[in-house]
Formats: sequence, C-alpha cells, structure tokens
Amino acid sequence: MKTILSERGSRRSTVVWAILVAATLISWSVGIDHGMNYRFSTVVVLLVPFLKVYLVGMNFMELREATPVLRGLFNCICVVICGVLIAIYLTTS
Amino acid sequence: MTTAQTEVPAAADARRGRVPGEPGVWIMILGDLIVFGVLFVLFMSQRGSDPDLFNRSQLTLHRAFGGVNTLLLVTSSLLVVLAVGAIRAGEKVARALLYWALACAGVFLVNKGIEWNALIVDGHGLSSNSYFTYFFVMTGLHAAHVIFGAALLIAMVVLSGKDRPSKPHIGLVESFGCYWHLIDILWLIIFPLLYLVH
Amino acid sequence: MDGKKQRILLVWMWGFSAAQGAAIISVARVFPPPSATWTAERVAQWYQGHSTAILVAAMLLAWTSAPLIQFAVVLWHQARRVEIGAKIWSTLTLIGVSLTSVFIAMIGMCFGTAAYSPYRAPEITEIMHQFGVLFMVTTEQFFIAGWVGVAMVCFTTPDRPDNPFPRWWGWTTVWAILLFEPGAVAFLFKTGPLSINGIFAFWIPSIGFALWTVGQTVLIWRALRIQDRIDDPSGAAIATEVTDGHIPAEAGTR
Repeated sequence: MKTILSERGSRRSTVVWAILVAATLISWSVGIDHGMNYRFSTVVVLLVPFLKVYLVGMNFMELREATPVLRGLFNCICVVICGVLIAIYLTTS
Repeated sequence: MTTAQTEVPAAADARRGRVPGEPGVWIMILGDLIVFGVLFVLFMSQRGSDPDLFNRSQLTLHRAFGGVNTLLLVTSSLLVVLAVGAIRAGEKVARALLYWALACAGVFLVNKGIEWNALIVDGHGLSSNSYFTYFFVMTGLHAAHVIFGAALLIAMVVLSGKDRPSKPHIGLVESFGCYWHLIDILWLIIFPLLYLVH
Repeated sequence: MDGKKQRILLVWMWGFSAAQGAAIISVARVFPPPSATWTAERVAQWYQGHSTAILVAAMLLAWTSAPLIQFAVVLWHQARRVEIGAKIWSTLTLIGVSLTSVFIAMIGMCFGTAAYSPYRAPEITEIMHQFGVLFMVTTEQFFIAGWVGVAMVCFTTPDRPDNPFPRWWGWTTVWAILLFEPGAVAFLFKTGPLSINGIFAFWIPSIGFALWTVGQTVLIWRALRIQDRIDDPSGAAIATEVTDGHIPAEAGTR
C-alpha cells in the first residue's frame, strides 16, 4: 500500500479528490439558500460542477498529458454544455 | 517528469501528448457525454417552461441522497485512479482498490434504490409530472451506466491478475478506468441539475 | 467473384432499405410515430384519413421487408473471414441481424392491418396501430445481439486493411448498443424523451442505427477492394474495372 500512495501522481490525485469532496460538501450544505441573488447563486451552482468535471478530466482521466485534440474536444464539449445550460436558465427564469 | 511507474507514461513526444487508454474508447466516452449533454439541455428547457413546478418538486427530494452519491462516486474514481497506477506498477494492491471501488458503486445503487422507493411510496412516480419523469429518466439512465461501468471494473479486476500486464492490457485498463471517470462526471452534473438548481 | 456477390447483396440491401424508408416516412407517415397520447378515436381518424397511403406503404414494405438478411449474410461472411477459432461471434451476427428483419416485416403487417378496415371500432384500430409503433421502437434486442457479435469480432481480430472490423469500430458499436438500449423503455412513457417519438427512445436509436449501417457498409466496401486484390493477385479483375483494360503497374507484384 505504501508504494503507490507515496508516488507523486497518487498524491496529486488524492489532493484533487479532497478538493472535489470539499466542493461537494459545500454545495450540498449551502445549496443556494443563503440570501444571495437567486440567479447569481444558481449560475454558480451550474458553473462549479463543470470546474469539478474539468479537474476529473485533466487529472483522473489524464487528459492533461493527452494529445491537444482530445483534450480540446473534451473541454469544448464541457464548455458548450455548461454554456447552454446557463444560457437556458438565464433566459427562462 | 519522474519516471516512477505509477506516473502517466511519458509520451514519445511530450509536446504531442498521448491518448489515455485506447483511442476507440474516446468515441464512446465523448459520445456518451454529448448524448447526456442533450438530455441535460432538454431538462433545462423543460424546466424553463414551468420553473415553479420544477422548484416545488425539487423540494420533495432529500438532498442527502444526492450528496452521498456524489461522494461515493468521487471516492470510487480516486480508487480507480490509484488502481490503474498500481496495475501499471504490477502491484497486487490494485485488486483491493478495485473491490473498494465496486463497493462504492454497490452502495450508490442501493442508495438510489432506497431513494426511488421513498419517492414512489410518497406518490411521486415516473409520470407524476415532467420533473419526476426527467428525474427518474436521468437517474435511471445514469444507474444503467453505473451497472455497465461496474462490469468494466470487474474486467479490470481480471486484467489486474496478470503478473506482467502487456501494453494492450494496460490500454484496456486505462480505457475502462476513463469510462468510470465519465460516469463520475455525469453524476457531478446530474446532482446539481436535479437537486440544487432553483 | 466473391467480392462481386457481396456487392450485389449490399446494393440490393440498400435499394430495398431506401424503398422501406420512403414507405414508412413519407407514405405511411409513421416514422416518426404520432404521439402516444392520442385517443382511440384520433388514431382511427388518422387511419381513415390516409388508409390508401398506408396500404400502399404496407405493400411496399411487404416487398422490401428483408434487406437485413442480405446485410447479415455479408456481415457473416466478412466476420468469418477474420474470426479466429470457432465462428461463434460471426454466427451471432448472422442470426441477430437476420432475425431483425422479422420485426421490420411485422411493422408493415401491423400498420397495413390497421388501415385495412379503417371504419371498424376505433379501439381495434388503435391496438393494431400500437402494435406497429411498439414493434418499431421496442424490439431492438435482436439487432443488438448482432452488434455484440460485430463488436467482439472487432476486438478479437487484428486490424488489417482487408478487415472491415477495426478496433475503433468495436468501440463505436458498443456505443451504438448503449444508445439503442433505451428503446424498450418506451413502454413506460406516453410523453417525453423516452416515449415512442421521444429523443432517446426513437430519434437517437434510429439515427444511430442508420449511421452505423452506413459506416459498416463503407468499411466493408473498402475492405472488398483489398480482398479482391488478395484473391486476384494478377490484378486482372481490378485492372479491367478501374483502368478500362490497361493493366496497372502494381498488378502481378503481390
């Protein structure tokens, strides 16, 4: 167990995991009921998951070391989905 | 970049990068991401036509189910990352890590079942209203992918049993691992869409 | 010669498929199917409104209902060529893809029967209509079984120019299987993305099926050219076909 957990790659992955867990706990407990502007907080609620997705993609899926085309495609798709979701929310709420 | 075996193998030309796993699996991964993306967009559009209904229905959910499920999948993803590193290094601990990842998947599915049951008992079913239709469709399709992903994890367990995994085997292991991360990614988006967007 | 037989089957299959497509899309207008929320009276009115068109479509479908059999035979022969060991996956492909034809034939039968006596009790017309629509949308498992066979051939045979089942196509086929599976869920929904005309139960599987079949045909067509050269090293057959009788330089050097 010691050998892989002490490797730099594994430590980085664990740090990423910790960030993901923290972000999840925060959004779970805070949600959007904390007095801020509703629309702003919902946009944040829609944006933060895609930052998490970016972290998972770059680190866990090892896209950071991947060919630029693959990384670009992945990021593009995520940006488009995120953008469209936020745009729909803002224009319909 | 160090040359420790658990690190990502250095690309022949570091600038050009490598493809994690087999190139073909990315057709499946990006394809599934796009298809679910379409589903997410449909959900938001549908929500836009009756936000009050969606907001009210959302309040009947227990956020804890969604939150716990997110933690389970994120943790399972970490375990899979560590397992892939262990398989590359030929370490036996890979098996244990994968079993724990499978356990997370199992608890996820049980949790999902309990949540669904609670909702159905409360009278919220597939066709109660369009929010719940989307709820059950999204979480159902995702759960089906979790089951498929779990089968891939089992395949990884089998592949991890080889003493000296060959390059093609490692390619498959990485491919299946990446697919599992996709399943995690999908839930990271589903959770706020269904439980938090208001 | 083998290549020529297979090409004939592929052309036959696509010709009949085009006729089928025209029949169910523009003549019968059941593709996409009308909403599942229609009442029996509404369904009956719809049949009464264009029963002749539907009967003509049913006739066309009866004549063209089995192109997947031709396709299955070509797939089977191509898979057998490259499969290592017992030809299990090839046989699975043959049977799965062929049997799908039965369901396509059923579609024509159901809609044709519904239109045959359009002024009967509406509920009876409705049930035949529902039969047709549900056959169209939910009975995809046979084709999926065929797809599993194809995917396994892709994954277990080495990539070669004469092999129309490359590894990346195996992944594409697995993805197609995942996209196709939701079809059966249409039983549970009358509206929304998983209903009979919904995006996940109908549009994505239909488009996926069409694209996959086109893609596989292209792969086989290209592989057939290479296979012709392998089977006919002097290049005579290709020479006459391609260069109007002039033998190309590389002929005879294989």
